[in-house]
Amino acid sequence: MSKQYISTNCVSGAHNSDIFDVAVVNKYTITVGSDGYARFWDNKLDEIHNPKDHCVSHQIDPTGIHHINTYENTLNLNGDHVKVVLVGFGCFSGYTKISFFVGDDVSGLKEIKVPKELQKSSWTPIFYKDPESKQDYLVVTQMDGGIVLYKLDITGSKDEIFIELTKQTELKTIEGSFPISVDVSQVVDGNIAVGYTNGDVVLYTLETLKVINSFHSTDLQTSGNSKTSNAVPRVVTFSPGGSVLAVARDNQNSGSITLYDVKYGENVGTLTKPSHSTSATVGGFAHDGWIMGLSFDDEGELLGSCGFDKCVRIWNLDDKERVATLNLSASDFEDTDQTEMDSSIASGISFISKGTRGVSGGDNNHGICVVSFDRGVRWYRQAGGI
Amino acid sequence: MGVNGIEAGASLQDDVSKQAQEFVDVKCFDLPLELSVLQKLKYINEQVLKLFLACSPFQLTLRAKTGSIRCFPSVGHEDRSLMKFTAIITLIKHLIQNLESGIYTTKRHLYYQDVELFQKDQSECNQLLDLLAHSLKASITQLNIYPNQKGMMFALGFDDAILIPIKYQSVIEKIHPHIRSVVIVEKDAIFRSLVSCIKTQGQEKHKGILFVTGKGFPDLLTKSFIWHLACSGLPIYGFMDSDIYGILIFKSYREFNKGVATERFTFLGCFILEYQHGFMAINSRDVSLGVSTLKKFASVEDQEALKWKREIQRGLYLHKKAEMNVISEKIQSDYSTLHYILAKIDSEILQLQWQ
Repeated sequence: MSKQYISTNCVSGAHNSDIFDVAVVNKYTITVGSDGYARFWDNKLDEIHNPKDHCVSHQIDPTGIHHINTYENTLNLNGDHVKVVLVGFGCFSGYTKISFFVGDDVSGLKEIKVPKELQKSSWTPIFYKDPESKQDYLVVTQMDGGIVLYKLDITGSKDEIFIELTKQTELKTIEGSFPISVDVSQVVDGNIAVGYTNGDVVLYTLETLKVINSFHSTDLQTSGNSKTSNAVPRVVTFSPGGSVLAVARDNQNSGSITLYDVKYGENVGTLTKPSHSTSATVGGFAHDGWIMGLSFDDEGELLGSCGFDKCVRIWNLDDKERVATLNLSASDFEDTDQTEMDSSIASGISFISKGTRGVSGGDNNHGICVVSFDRGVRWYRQAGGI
Repeated sequence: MGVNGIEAGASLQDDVSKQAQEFVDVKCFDLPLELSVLQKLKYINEQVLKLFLACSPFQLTLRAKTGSIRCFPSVGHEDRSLMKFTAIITLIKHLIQNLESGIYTTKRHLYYQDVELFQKDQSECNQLLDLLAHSLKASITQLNIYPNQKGMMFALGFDDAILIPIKYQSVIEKIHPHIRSVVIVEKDAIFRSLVSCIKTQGQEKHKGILFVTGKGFPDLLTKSFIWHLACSGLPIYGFMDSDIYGILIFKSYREFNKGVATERFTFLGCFILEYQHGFMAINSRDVSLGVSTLKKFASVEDQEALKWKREIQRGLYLHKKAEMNVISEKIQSDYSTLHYILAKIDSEILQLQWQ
């Protein structure tokens, strides 16, 4: 059954350059891009507002930010319940920056000092929030293919927060391969999935970085150099329950999505859009371009994907059918100040939980936020239920 | 010899050191200012010859840029420094010959006169030439050594593509009135097919375009040629690969010097997002070079450099590069590359001129 999505807000020129990633915490939608800024867009406003008037910006790294990951937790510190939000930024300089703010006040965003190995050639940070609140972690991939795991401990009081990163273990290089994508499942005994440019997706145990499984690319065409594959696993993401891993791979100039069962290491299906072509193809595609973003909804029933073909697709995972397609174009904005470098390629997507956005219908419907190389941010919500 | 006297039959070691002390210096620096470079070289040559014939031990002394005195041969490093000594003498002979007969040459050409002598390393030859030039207080060009002519240029009306001449100023004067824009192509192969295409199918509108290639990273001559054209007010357009090297190459043209002329440089392509096929994975060297370039770009403000920065970031993020390839056996791709360039020239350069 198809679903309808309604545009609730959009901002043009949200960044001065490409927007690479988006993350949503309760209070803010956070976007990052190659201008090196993180912008915090207030989620709690009604439909009629200009998001730019309620946006808090922080410059993070002048070389640009390519990935963002967040950690949101309410902790009992000396008897006080304190909400702490950590934001990890993967920057082009190879510096992983970690900042935090307390409560909802992002104007007080503070950067913490990160270990040395995160200051030079790291790539993407991912937080792990332990559902049992025993031990949280920070996982960071390195440009040389390695992974470093830190224990994440937050102490102090509501007046002063201390964030401590203690290196627990690290995994050395996978020779010549670049960790282009990474995710951590937010469940008890979580797993790490890393997508490498040699086409493999490797599944590790979180605490010990032991390899559990390798999902090889099915790409038959390899370029002479075996270290690189054309089937780059551009995005990997775990379902909320941690049982399914969705992998988006380049497939020539198209993008395919494969679902893997984490426990048994099996391919449990692919997501393909119906093709009207009469030519029999072996595998179908999810997008007519590389896929740059994947996001599960809270229930793990829907998967959103977006990419080079300038569209967002929403998939129902029960029957693996596509239930919605949203096309992006510069005409989505009232005011367009598009430059020659701008393009409505959808570079990142995040589902927004019910009750997060302040828009009408936001309480009963989930939403989606999409960022793009046209420097725009677009918010949608599922139709109906008002 | 030791003050206390040494017994007869001193060791061979002492013998050598005795000789070393009696080396006569042939000074190649601080020669009278009124002498021309040629005269200086001849003077050194004569001294060497004289000492040779007299069978008296001597060494050449030169002064490096740092001010330190270098001796050839030098005691303790006989093996290497004797080789260098021979190389310097040989270079001097060649230079005298060239200066006398008005022959222009290149460092590379001199190196190929005797590769073994320079231990099969051209930088060895370059270093010695620089050392010699500095000692003589002469510039490299005063030794009749010019940068290797690597850059090529072509405009409609030329018989064929020609090397950018060493004394390009006069050429610029001649062609400048007809030229309205300059197009730099990174790769030689693309340049050549572009030239043959323009030669056969070029239209009136292409007349005002000067096509140039530096064949990858440009040499000094090509860069100064382009800079000269930019300073004269011509817009400079670049067609490079969409990878870190393509951008660094175009950057090297633009950053040859400082001034308003930098504003006349525009990177026209190719851009990674324009590509449909032919993406290649970047390697770890591309990544580290990209990252270090981005760090240098951290505080750029001008639109052109911001464009390059964005392109580098896209390449790193996508982990891909796109080459403007011309593969001769694939006529199709050859055509499409040229088609791409010509269409861009039409839309970006010629349109602008009509306005």
